[in-house]
Amino acid sequence: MSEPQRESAAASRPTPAQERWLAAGQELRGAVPADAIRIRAGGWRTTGLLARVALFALGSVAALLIALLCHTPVGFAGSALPIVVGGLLAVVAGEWLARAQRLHASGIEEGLIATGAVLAALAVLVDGDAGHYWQPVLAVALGVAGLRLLNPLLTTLAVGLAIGWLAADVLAVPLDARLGVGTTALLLAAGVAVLALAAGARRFERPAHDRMLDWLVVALPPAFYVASPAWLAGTGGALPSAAAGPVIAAPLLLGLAAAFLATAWRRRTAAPLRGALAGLACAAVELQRLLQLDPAWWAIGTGIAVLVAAVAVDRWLRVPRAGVTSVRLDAREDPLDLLQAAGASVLAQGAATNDARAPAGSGGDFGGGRYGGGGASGGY
Amino acid sequence: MRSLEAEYRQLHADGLLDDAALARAVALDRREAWSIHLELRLVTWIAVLCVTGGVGWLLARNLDRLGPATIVLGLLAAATACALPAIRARFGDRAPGTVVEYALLLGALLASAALAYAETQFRLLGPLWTWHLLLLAALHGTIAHALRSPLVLAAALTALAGWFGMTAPFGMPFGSGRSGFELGAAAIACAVVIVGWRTATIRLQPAAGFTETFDQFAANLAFWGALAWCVRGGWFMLPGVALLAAFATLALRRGLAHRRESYVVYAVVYSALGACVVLGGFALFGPLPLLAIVLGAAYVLWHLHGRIRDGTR
Repeated sequence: MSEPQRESAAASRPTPAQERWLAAGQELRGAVPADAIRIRAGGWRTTGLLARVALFALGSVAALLIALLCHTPVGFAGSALPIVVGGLLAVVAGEWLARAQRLHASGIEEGLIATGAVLAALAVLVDGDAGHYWQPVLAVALGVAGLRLLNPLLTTLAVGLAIGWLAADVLAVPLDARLGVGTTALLLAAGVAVLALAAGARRFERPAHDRMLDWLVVALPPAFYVASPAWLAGTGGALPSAAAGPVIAAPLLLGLAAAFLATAWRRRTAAPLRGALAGLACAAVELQRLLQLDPAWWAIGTGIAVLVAAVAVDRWLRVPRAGVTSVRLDAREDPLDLLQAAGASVLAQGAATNDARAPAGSGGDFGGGRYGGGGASGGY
Repeated sequence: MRSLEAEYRQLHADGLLDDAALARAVALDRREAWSIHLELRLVTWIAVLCVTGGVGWLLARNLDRLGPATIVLGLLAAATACALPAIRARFGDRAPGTVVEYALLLGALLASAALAYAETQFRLLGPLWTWHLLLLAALHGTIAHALRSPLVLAAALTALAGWFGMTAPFGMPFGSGRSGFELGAAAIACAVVIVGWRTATIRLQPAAGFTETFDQFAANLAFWGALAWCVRGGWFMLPGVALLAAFATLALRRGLAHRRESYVVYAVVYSALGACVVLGGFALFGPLPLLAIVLGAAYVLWHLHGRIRDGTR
């Protein structure tokens, strides 16, 4: 074995060049033999999205069971040490899988390492009676795991927790008192999203770094809008002014959406477009709250307007305009096809049970349905 | 911004990528062609969710003011308006497009709401009221077949599953007060009906393109049914375990034969769940056997995924 090969064999993750081959293999799945990609990727292997999600879940459950195994026989009543040991064992198992089996972004090692790290961090917190610091400690645990695994979900969660902690415990008081609870967090989230968008203009060697930035752009502003007191208290607009949430939310979200949309058009990338759509959705909700519009009519009106706009865009882009099209360019098995069927199923349930919202007495209570006669809730 | 053009060109130079595939990959990589299909789908789904949610909300609050006949007629008129673009596309022999498909789904859902509301107000079905979900399934099924819409078919299958007592997407039997045995029997019976429907569709309307939708619903319902029997414990566990093994074998065969990752994931994950449930039923062992099952399932799933990726059976 040559020196570079030995070095590569001991590596904890693929080099940027190897990771790029893995990404190319994902993009060209089925068009190029898997072996050809594997050789170029230095033997590193990865999975598709569905298998990755399933393996991540199995890895997380395995980490929990390892911690439970450590806890059960030791029997340190009141001590979190066995959980710490169990969590660290799960991390070691994940590291072994990644290095020895050369797994990258395959789910199982991610589940073991991420859950193990979180368990160990939580156990240390509980043991040290430092529950107040759960946000920064979890942010560090997830951030380290995310950077180690190059996993955008974990890094986004870590950044989100860090922003939440900074906004609530370090910076919040003056700004929130003046502009509404949640303003600092929303501003920080928007700032980080804008920075991530700007950084996304660079060419990164690792495709994973691109994805990490993309996730920040898409997830942070809507997540912190949804976490604001105004949203959590409902959209009825009846909140007292002190708890009315960030008054700058609507202009901020609209401004972000405009900037993201312009960037998406210029760069032709999906993340800013998705960020813009999420921002517009949040801004629409905020406007309903601020203007105290009737929620039912607002939902119907917004839905119809969006549907009409979508029909127009779909038709207009059926023929590509400056390379942009509404036609699907990829015919592979798409997990989103499954989501689409599940989504239609969710909508169908909602519509079929709209009658359940009718006030008592208007239609009669029929009692619960029985097998063979439909399992209706009986809530007519 | 990511670019993999150098890798694509290297593969082409090595003879692993033909000219057409290279041109397509490079065009996508340089963003000379950019599809917003997925985003349009997502936006349209949210729009349909908003409208159906708003209609439900409105119905709940304004019943007395609007009057039942106005509500039903209004909903049916809106449903017809939503279905018109899809009808025009179908009879004009054009592909309807994603958004028109969703508009049709919205029309079908508004018709559902109208029928369900009419039933509560006018008691059209009398003592046969529990059949309204079956009626809805038939209505949606007819629309789906007439306009070749997989989305409306999903709504039809959901109504059918609801009639059998399943209340969550893809037939997961959550939130029901019924026993495990009853739920399991209902789920498996529903899966059998769906398989029969699928077979008839393949014979009578082979170009409909519904096979995947039927298979996803049938697979999930069948697995949940078998799992529900495993939960029951005692001797009822045996047919549950046997069925789970049989369904897992079928799903694996389909997944490997057609290189469909989802069926392989179902087979492995549901089998692991079943094994954990059976083991939990004995309540004799600690977490060690459960850990062995989970790690074994992960190993099998990884191995089978490799076979799908490599194209071996």
